[in-house]
Amino acid sequence: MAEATGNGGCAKRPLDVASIRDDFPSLSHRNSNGQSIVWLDNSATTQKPRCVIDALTDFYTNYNANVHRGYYEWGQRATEAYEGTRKRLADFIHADAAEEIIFTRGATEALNALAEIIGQRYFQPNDEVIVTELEHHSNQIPWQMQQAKRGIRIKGWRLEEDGRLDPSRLEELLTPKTKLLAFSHLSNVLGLIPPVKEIIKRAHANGTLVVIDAAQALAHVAIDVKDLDCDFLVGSAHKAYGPTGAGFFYGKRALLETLPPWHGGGTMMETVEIDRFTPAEVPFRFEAGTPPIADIIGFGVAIDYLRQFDWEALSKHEEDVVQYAEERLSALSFIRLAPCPTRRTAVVSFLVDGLHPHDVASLVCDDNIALRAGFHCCQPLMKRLNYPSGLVRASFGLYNTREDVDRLVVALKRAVEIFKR
Amino acid sequence: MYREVLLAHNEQPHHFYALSQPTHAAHGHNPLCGDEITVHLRIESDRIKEISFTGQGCAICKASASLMTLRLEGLSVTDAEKNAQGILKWLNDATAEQPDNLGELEALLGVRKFPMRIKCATLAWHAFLKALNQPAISDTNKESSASCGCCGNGSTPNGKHLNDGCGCGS
Ligand SMILES: Cc1ncc(COP(=O)(O)O)c(C=O)c1O
Repeated sequence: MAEATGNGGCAKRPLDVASIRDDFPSLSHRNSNGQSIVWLDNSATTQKPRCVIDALTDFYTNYNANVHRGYYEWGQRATEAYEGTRKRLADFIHADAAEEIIFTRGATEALNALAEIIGQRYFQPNDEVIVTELEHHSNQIPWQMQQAKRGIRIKGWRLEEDGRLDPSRLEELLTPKTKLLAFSHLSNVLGLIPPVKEIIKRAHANGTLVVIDAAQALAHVAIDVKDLDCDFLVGSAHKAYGPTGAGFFYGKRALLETLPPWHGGGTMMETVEIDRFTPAEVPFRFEAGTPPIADIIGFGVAIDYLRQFDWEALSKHEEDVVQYAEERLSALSFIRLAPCPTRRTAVVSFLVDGLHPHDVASLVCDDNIALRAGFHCCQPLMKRLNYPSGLVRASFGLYNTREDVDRLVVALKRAVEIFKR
Repeated sequence: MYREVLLAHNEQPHHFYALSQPTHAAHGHNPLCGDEITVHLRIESDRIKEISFTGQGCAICKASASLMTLRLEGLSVTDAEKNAQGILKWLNDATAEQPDNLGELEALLGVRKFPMRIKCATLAWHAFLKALNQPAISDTNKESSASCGCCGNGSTPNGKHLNDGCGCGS
């Protein structure tokens, strides 16, 4: 398989943004006016480095085979590469063992799977699940579906006016019936990182399980599941420079052992008779059917790609660009930034006075700038912070630069001018 | 996409108010972006005597609603319905023929290239068709409907919504 140079342990590649940009073929696209793309929709999905694209082609061209089945060489190679991602991912988020990583088709599928299997095993009628008002719909609806199915009750953890999650509110919500708390490590709207470790501690003190949505955090925040002590954590490859269609959940081994299978099919069972089956061991118990093999192999390559850089250097660069964006945007009289009580990470959301968010995003298209506008799959958050038409969002990745921000500022000024006429 | 005509209609939309005595009203809501338009009608002798809209939305949404009121006012119900259906078909289907006498509505041509934004342009037109197909507002609940400017089906005589999720914001 195509390997990115270096990995967690080797000498680190210097963080040279120009050379990083060269790794991403799509970033060289230009519009009919010759303007290069400014990709500021990284929270929706990131662009892919050539090594990831090559890994997909390499798999389909040179060793396309199903995993955990073939006796031929391709089957073994495919299985090794696929399982290699499991090891890389475990290493990346500091899990104890590769078996604690379960592959899914994305963070959404991971959350749905977790809600269903945890629900099946642990939820009784009148039990409570806490979710915060920050959450993406994919960390709300699966729990709401459990509410309908198992008679549990969802309790919303209210945000403060400034967007903060105050842990003392959690104390008010926790009761002996609170089975689970689900919240995101990094908000895809506010760029806010809650006090994750402290929250987990408080939940655990109440005997409450914790699910962390790290869909946004994976590419931007160093994650150590052991240090956090979270019970479960989910992520998507495509938000971390990997392919779409691949994701995962992490679970503490001892907990995973207690959970029933999710989907039924090949791989997830040990023995099958006409009217019964015995489930397979962890992790295969949760991986029914042929997985998105190429995408998961590509996911591993994306992790290698990320890990060739010193994480601190990478964070520093992203911080610099995000902070610069915050400064430049807040200096514009017509911009109102969404609140973020902590340092913003990867995301800056805002409103443009007199312009609907949709119009802003459409207008900057003309300058080949990709922004997102709307509710960003967070309707409860928008309601809470009173953004009835949503927000404009610029979200950043490792290849974004201060020049990208400068171009955004020019485009926003132009948009406002057009509406002034 | 942002032609001068659309910018003008967005800035100063025509018929942008609630009718005091509507015979029909319907609410259109795009839950994915929060745009909401209520179309108010006064139909007399099978004719659109008065048409207006309220609500909030992006420039495309408001301009399209404003253009719609100009196009449909005074038409017979049958003609107005045909008209609205024709415009919707034209907006939704890039291969559809351009309706006759588009006038200023032609400015929406650019929107057809952006599937994400077509819903913005069609919202008011859908609401209009919905209003036509709604039972006429009876005298008893006329007032509440006018005061909240809400969907016909969400209003009750005391002005409260039957359906909290109707999202009309009033
Ligand atoms: C915070 C958060 N959670 C979950 C998801 C869902 O991820 P996916 O669409 O990759 O399944 C997203 C995607 O936008 C997200 O931002």
